[in-house]
Amino acid sequence: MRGSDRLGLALMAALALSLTALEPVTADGRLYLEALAMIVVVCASGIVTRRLLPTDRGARLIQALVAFAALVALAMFEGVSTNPFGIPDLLATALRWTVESSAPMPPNQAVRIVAVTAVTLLALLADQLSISLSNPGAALLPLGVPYLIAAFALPTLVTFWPLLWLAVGYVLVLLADAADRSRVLRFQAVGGSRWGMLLGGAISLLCALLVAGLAGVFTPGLDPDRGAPFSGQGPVQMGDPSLDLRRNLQQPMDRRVISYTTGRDTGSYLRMTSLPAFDETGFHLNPIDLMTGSLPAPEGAPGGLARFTIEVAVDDFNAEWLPLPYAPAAFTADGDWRYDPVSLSVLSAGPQQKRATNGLTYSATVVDVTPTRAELSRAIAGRPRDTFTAALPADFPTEIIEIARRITSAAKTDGEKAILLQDWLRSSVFSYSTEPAPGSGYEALTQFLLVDRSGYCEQFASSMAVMARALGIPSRVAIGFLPGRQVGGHYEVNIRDMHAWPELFFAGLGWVSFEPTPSVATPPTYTGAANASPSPSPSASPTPSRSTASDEPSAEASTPADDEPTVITDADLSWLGWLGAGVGLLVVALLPSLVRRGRRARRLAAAAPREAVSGAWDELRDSVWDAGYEWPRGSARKIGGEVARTLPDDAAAAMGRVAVLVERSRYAESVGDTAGLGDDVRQVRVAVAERGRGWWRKVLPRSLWRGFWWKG
Amino acid sequence: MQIRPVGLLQAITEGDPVERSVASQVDELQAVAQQIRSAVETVIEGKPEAIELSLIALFASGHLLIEDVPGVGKTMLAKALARSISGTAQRIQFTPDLLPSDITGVSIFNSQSRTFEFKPGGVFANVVIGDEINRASPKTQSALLEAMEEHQVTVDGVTHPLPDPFMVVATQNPIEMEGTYPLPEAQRDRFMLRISMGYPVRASEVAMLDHHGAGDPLADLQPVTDVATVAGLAETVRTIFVHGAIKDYLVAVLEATRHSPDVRLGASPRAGLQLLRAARTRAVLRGRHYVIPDDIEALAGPALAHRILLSPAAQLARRDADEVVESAVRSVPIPDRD
Repeated sequence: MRGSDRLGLALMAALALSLTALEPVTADGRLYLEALAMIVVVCASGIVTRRLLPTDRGARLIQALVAFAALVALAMFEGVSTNPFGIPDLLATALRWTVESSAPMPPNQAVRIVAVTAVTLLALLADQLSISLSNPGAALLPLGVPYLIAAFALPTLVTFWPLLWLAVGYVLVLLADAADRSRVLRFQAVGGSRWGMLLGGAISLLCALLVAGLAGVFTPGLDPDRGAPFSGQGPVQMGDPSLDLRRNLQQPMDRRVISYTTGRDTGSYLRMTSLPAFDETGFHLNPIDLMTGSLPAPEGAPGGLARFTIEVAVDDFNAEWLPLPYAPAAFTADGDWRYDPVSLSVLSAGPQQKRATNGLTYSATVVDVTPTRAELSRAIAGRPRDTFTAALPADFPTEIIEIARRITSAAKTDGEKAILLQDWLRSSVFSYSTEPAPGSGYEALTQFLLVDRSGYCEQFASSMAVMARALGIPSRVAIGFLPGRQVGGHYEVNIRDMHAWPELFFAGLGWVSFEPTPSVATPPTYTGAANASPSPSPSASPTPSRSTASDEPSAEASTPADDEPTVITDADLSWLGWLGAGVGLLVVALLPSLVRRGRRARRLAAAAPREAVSGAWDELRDSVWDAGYEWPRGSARKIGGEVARTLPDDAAAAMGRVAVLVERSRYAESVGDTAGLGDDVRQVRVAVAERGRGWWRKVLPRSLWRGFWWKG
Repeated sequence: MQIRPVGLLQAITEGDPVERSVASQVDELQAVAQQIRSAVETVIEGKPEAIELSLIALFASGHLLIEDVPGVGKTMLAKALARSISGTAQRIQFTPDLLPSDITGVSIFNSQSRTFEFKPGGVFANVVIGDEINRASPKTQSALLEAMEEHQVTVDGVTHPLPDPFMVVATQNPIEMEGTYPLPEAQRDRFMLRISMGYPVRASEVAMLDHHGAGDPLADLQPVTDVATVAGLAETVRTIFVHGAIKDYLVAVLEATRHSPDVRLGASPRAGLQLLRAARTRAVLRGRHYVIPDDIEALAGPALAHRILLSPAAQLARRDADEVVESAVRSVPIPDRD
């Protein structure tokens, strides 16, 4: 095997490992398979063409042609038109899908083709840089691009593992190169080429940062924190839903207004909107920009969350807001519906705006953002894009702030503080009543919290929201419906199930709902005791475990999925991650000794006498280094003498014989008889190894890096 | 450390007829040299390096300049060498009134035969010992030096060849420089090697008192070979293989002496020729039929130090020519790749 073959194989492995970084970006299993196939095609064709063709330029050309042909074949296999004029459309489709779908992206053919093409180009670039241009240090540029794209696009979702894999791959490439280069280095000015490599590495790292930064900026849809740039938008009249709330809770006649079926095994809170702004008069809506098209990913929530579907039928209920569980990913409803990218609430823009929901039947795919108890109690406050949700007016009553601080003094994290706030509001200190004057302003809240401690959901939700803000946790008040009651295979929601509840924003979790109102509903399981089992009540516990896979998303608002979606859940990934990390660590640990063994086998296998002698000498030098000693300087005779002095008699004699052979191979007309060389080398090697024992010498042979700065 | 066991060379050259014949000549020379060495060592105690260098000069057809204080055995070494090869030895004591004809010889008129007869001078011997060569006038010195270079003497238009092997062992006393004529550079260049004997180690000196007290060890020294054998073996030395890398190395060493900041005049090309011949001989004496960098390294000092002129700064700093040559050699990387 030649040096460039080894480097080609190492690159292949490194490129494959670098793909792991795309895990939070796309959930398309086929994309990985196809990308992997292209990597193999590019690297293997590089190896073969370099062997067959005399000139490097020819090999490069053939390799590029092979890669192109493979891409065309792939496109035909995928059933995509290979007409070049279709490429702009393909790109536009892929870009739209990327921008509009939330991370991880569901499968899409156009995205797949574009991504696989990009990976192919990266593989070609890596191959050219490291083999044709002999600068493997620069291979970090293409290898790092997938990771950096993921890191720039989804900073909160990128984990440590892909970086480890990237490093493993890069080390593989460098080792493959070092095995080859160590022989050459001694001829060249050592310093020059080593600094050259370092410089190359630094430059490629900078380039990679730049490229990935640009790529990350131009894939905004992937970022849960960014909105869709091109969508129809316009001013829409909005009604304050808290007015409806007050009115509806005091309806004399309770009646069914909504029925729904859900893919989940519990009911869901149906939210109409959230009120982000707070002033002395209470919580309000802010003006919002409405958009069409695919909904963005829920703000701040982790990737890879399960999804479920819901089918909703509204009876006689008029609203301009579409009641949907949080966080909707896609919905199908008749009429002109727009969404607020900040709160993910959906609002009618049609002619009969105020009555848009009446008699409407619609379906939606929902991301299950429910955290676990452990995640919540670890959580710290996040910083949402809507800064109104963190603002508390300067003249806000300090008594309330003090109460908030007092009752949460025992909590260590913001998540625990939120749980304590909810527990306090749900405690027997407070009572539920629809009697008190409505409102959530200073006066109403002070009255509620300090004086009569009696109120309904609006006061409970507002109190918890403002107290959370007082503690630095961004909050907003959601208005909508309780999950209702299960009747047969569906849920029924009445007009008096209209409800308000606080949503608090945590880093890494996004918006999390709480239930501070006693009597009407049980608290969410993730706010219960640390080991609480899920509540048996179907109407008030919206919490299946996150790790259970939900139903497939079936109805997408814009493009129907053309593939079976691959839902990768966190549990699977962590298991794979640990296994991968274990195997990776093992490979990394064994790698140096394997490389060292390979080198020895290669050296001792040389058939030509001069090469055999030179290989044997290099092998003895490395053995001495491995044993922790220095290789003397000077002529072969001098080195042989100095090394032999430290060895037992027969090994010393063997060393002397090898030294004489080396001398003859360098300075005499003929090398002479090398038949005993192998035995002599083995004898010396064993004797040298005897002098430098220690398992770490075997695991980390010193010769692997000692040769880099050694000048013969 | 001597690594190579003596018999190893034959072991690794078996099956190669050409090499085997070279190897047998090498072995013969080595054996003869060993005999001479043993014989000389019965007279000169504890000076193996000086003896080896004088053997190298003998087989490389070179001349030896011994620089040392009186009484350390300079003359004894030369006489023992001559006697052990059953050659003739002549000793010429250089004094300010020594005439060139005392060295080369004169034609004197024989009144009986009525012809001019050539009466050979002190130079007609296999080993000529020029004692305190710096005490004679330059004219007389140059008479000897010409004979050294030409291997012949011309007197009154008649050329008289000198015997073969012919080797001049000149001595110089570096201490008593009063009233001397130091050898000019051009003439020092004709000596292949310069050695200094140095005082013997204590044990050797004690042993010497024992041996020399009993009688004249030189008289007891028996010849171990003859001049014809030595002359033949000197021819063998010329056939020893020298790898291109070694020649490059040698030239690099010469250049290093020329470029050294401590040196005003570096080693001449003739110095290179002589160094290579000496290195070949050393290889053979050590049982090798090829030259290695160690040979060059070991002989660079004796072969080059007396030929170079130190710069005034180096002289002021009391730097030694041997030391300067050594550092020049060290600055040249050993050719260790094929």
